[in-house]
Amino acid sequence: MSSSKVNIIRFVLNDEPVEVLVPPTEILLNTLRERVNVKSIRYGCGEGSCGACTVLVDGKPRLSCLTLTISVDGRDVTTVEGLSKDGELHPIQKAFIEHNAAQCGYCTPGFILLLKALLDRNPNPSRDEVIDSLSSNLCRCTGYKNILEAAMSVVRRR
Amino acid sequence: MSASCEVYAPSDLKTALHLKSRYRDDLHVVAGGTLSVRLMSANAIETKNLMLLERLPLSFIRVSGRNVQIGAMTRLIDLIDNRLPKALVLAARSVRGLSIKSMATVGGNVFSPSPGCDVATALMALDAHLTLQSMNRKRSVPLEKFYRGPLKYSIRSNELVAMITVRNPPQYSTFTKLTPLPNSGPTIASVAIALDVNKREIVRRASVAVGGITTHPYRAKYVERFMLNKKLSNITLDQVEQGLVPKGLTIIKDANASSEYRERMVPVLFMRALNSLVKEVSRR
Amino acid sequence: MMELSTIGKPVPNFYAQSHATGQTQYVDDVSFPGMLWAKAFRSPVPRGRIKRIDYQKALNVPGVVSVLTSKDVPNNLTVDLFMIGVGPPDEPVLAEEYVNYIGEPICLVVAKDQYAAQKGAERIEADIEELEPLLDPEEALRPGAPIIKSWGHNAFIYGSGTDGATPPGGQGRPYFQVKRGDVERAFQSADHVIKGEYVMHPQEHAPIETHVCVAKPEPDGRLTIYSSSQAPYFVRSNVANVLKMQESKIRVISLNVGGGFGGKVDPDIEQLTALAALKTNRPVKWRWTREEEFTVSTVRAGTKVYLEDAVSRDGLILGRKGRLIHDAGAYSKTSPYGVIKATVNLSGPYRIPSAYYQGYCVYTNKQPSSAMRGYGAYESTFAVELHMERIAKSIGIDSWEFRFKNAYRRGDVSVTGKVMEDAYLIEVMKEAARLANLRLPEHLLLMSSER
Ligand SMILES: Cc1cc2nc3c(=O)[nH]c(=O)nc-3n(C[C@H](O)[C@H](O)[C@H](O)COP(=O)(O)OP(=O)(O)OC[C@H]3O[C@@H](n4cnc5c(N)ncnc54)[C@H](O)[C@@H]3O)c2cc1C
Ligand code: FES
Ligand code: FES
Repeated sequence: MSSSKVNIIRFVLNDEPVEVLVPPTEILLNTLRERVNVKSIRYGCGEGSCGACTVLVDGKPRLSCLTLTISVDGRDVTTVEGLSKDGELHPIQKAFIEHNAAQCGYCTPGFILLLKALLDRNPNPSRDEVIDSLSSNLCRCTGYKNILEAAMSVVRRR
Repeated sequence: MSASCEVYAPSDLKTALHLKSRYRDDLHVVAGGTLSVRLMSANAIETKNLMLLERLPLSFIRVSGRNVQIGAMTRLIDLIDNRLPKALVLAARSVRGLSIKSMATVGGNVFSPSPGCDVATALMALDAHLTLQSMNRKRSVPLEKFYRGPLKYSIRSNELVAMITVRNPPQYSTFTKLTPLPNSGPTIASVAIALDVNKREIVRRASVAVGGITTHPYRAKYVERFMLNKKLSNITLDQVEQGLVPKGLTIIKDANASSEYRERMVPVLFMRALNSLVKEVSRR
Repeated sequence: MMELSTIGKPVPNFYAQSHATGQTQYVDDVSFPGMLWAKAFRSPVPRGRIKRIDYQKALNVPGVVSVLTSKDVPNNLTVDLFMIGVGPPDEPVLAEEYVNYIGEPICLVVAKDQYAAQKGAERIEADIEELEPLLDPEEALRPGAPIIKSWGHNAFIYGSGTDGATPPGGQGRPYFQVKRGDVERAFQSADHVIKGEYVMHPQEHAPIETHVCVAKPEPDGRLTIYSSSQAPYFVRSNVANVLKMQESKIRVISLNVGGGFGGKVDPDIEQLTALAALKTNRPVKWRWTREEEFTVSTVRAGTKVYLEDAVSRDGLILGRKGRLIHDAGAYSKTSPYGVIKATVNLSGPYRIPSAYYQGYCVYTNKQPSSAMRGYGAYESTFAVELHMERIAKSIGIDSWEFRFKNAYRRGDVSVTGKVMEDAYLIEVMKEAARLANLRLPEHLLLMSSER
């Protein structure tokens, strides 16, 4: 039988193997923040509405507040810490800095990861597709204009 | 959560169905998690045992001729596929944002109450059938018959939704919804229309589904019958307005819209959908 | 002209790098070994009398360490901004006999993790006798309305009932009044009298970071508070007052705020988190859920404004009467201060030679309102600008022209007697029109704020 009682969960977090012991109903947001000490994913609503908790699971965007930790067993989890390689920032991160796309910064990692997921799927999205995709996430400070400019600058550079 | 909570993540349907018939209602089924995990976190459901469906081979889209089979675990983002009826593509596209589209499944959307049932609304207009499967039985239920009242479904405790089928859908279909966000966003009301017309643009087959205003989508039967044998471009709002939201329905309200507003928007959306079909038909 | 080095140039946010790499630290990132989590049990009704609270079942939940009630609070009165003259202190930290809005905290459950705290709060049973709630601020001012304040009426009047020195106010009395010139005469000599009513609904700040606080008792008896507050000094004096501690024993650390917009000015969670830390002698975290952020955090006050203007044939405002009703919700917070700002601003940026303004600060059984981006001024501006449009329309004059005519010029005197030394409204309006590609008539373009 392929099923088993799952208690110990192993996954790869930003290229590093991780092993955690979790209750079955624990959400990935809490596991990453409280047990693995990754603080760049953030609680904003706990119900899928804000995107502050976005991570990538096998490259796909996942709201970690709606994701059971047991479901990432054996998978690849990426947070914003995993985007910069050898101190070199990812182009999306650079664009966010250049375009002043973060004000309080609470929402920023979520937006960066979501944008990465979009561009990995479709390297050349239209402005409307970018707006449409990013509507998963909320920002209360910037008014979105600079976020969109940062996003479109990465699209153009490709 | 009881201490004895068992967790299963079967990778074949047979095992999943075996577990379902063993535990019946004592097994909480998690598809994409966008509704089920939320309810668990809110302590809204006492979790017994858990079964994750995501490893099942139920993520597929099979198109043969005009027939479509969609695996229950297909994510909404994968419905943005030109081989599928347009109403379905538009409904999937209208779901809020890339993350929800990438997580939510078609099977889950069928269970999801308003305002989260856009894909189900489109499927209903396309006369979709659900394949409900248990250990030793497989049956097909029209989506329309699947809803037996708010959050009441015609599914047995040993069954899973395995697949959704659309057989020989009408040639034209569309989906419109009203949302407070500029593109995709939470639904205030939605309308899906599917129809066939003959050479003289006379309606030969029509179905109209209304979503987002009652707990589950419904078919506007009166309007469907009225449209039959009418010339498409001659249909006007005052002819159908009465029949779009039949008397006696319980209309929902939430932070985005009151029930009165939702109700008033349905005819507007119907005309938008109809006009886009009129244009499309005249262009062929 | 000299090349300016900073003005007109974008300045990068010096946190940009740390934001984009996710390294910025917020209060929710603070955690200590053995840290407990708090969760409030809140009033399910808008107004009621608490007859009995049973929290035994909460204590039986595995992981629950303690349940705090009003009896545990050394000084159960939030003083909020009283020390800077904004009062009165009318809000209990935890409800005693009465609850006055849905979501008012009654008990605080402290547990080993957030799950146990949540479960504990769900197990608390309260027997609350529901009383008729007061939801409309205008209703609250009418004679015979249910009275929800201890001082005998539903409006705030400075001093009355709180300092014992000033005579008690009454149900219909405004809190703040502004008078200038002979407004009655202006209305007698007016060619037009134009009235309007303007309603602004409450607004929620909805920062993406909800309210969050960590309090940690230090071995030397001090207390460290990590808070998402926008106002760490308010936090310190309030906690000191509520816990009857010396301010010097309290250290408040304000990390990056994940959005505040005024909603994190009032010390709403720090007192209880600090108390829980002292009671349990463990670090304690309290983080509001999104639902709490929406339903119990402060909002911008719902406001109703009545305006009536006396206007001459040639479009000059001769006088204005204004009545502003500010819905404070259940408790004062910074509302009385907001009412002063709102009332004073009923002239807008216009020359109003005679005026009579009345500002009411009214209590209702709703979540308290308080600061939010330019509060007071914003609510009256909304009403005033709509009113300006209405006047222009009803006397048949272009609204740009009407605003230009009545704009403050250098040397004009405001309703509070301030001489305008640097009036620029006309210049600003010209520039705004230019940016909007709107061509103003020549005679307006020739105008300036110079006399
Ligand atoms: C922020 C947010 C925004 C949203 N916006 C939209 C929107 O714009 N439009 C829209 O249509 N929807 C929207 N939704 C709703 C979302 O589409 C649904 O929650 C989703 O489709 C449910 O699918 P799921 O795979 O996540 O199901 P789950 O949450 O995992 O499951 C839902 C229910 O269905 C049952 N179930 C699921 N699959 C099966 C199966 N194969 N057999 C038997 N039982 C099953 C589960 O047991 C559970 O009871 C939104 C949701 C969120 C959180
Ligand atoms: S915390 Fe997950 S979407 Fe808001
Ligand atoms: S920068 Fe503050 S929420 Fe986006």
